[in-house]
Amino acid sequence: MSFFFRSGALYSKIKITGVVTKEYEALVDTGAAKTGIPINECQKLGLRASGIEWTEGLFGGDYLPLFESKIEFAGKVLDKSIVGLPIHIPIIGRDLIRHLKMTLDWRMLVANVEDP
Amino acid sequence: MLSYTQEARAHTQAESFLQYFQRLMSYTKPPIFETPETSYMRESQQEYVHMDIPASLQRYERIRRELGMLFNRLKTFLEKGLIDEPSIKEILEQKIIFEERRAELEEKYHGKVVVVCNGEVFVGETIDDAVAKAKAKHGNRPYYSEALGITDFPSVLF
Repeated sequence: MSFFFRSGALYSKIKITGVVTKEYEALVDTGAAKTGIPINECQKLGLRASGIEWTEGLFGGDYLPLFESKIEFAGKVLDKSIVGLPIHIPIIGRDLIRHLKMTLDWRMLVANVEDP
Repeated sequence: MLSYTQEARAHTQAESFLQYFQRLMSYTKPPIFETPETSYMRESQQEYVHMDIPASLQRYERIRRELGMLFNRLKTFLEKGLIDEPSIKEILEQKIIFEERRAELEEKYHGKVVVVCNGEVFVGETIDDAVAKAKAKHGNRPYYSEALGITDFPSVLF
């Protein structure tokens, strides 16, 4: 499976398709409601904003673009809207991980997907 | 509600997004702010000081502020080639429709995600639900979305 730990954080391989397809190592963030990729990467993928969303959290709020894309994650291919984020790494949010049944062993740093 | 903004919302193809935005801002300016009874010019700072503004009119100012913020963000997305001018005009229009109905929507759909597309409001449990409903009816038209009462910013930012 494509999950792995780095510096105590869980990452996963994710493939995003816009005009071109690229594979990323994305941080699995259970605190994030939505999946997002850096805005600069949206440009490289040739994605066009399909809408704008007001998003807010601990650090205030901002208007962020939403993109329609095809995401390949943990053996599943999903048509999803993802957020363009002002950060440097892609983030896998709860909207994607809720499709999986998985167990995490933080002592041994092992992630098992039981029902992919 | 804000009947005079309905005229402002009707944009034309020939009009640039900048002209459209300026027109929107002029239409959404509350007329009461310009009357001498309720405002005066503070000469030292060259700015209007508003007095006794009814609560019902404060939302006009909110709409102007929100539109300004959104417009600035949309301009940066345009520079990066992530969006085109007609989409900017349409998204600004959807934003105004959302702001006009904000109080009603916040009361009715607290905890849900609202998408405004082509003047119509679509509601869903998640953004994907709401966007799917909007796309089923209006295809790929640009939309404005907001989660009402949900804090959902990714936790690792900045």
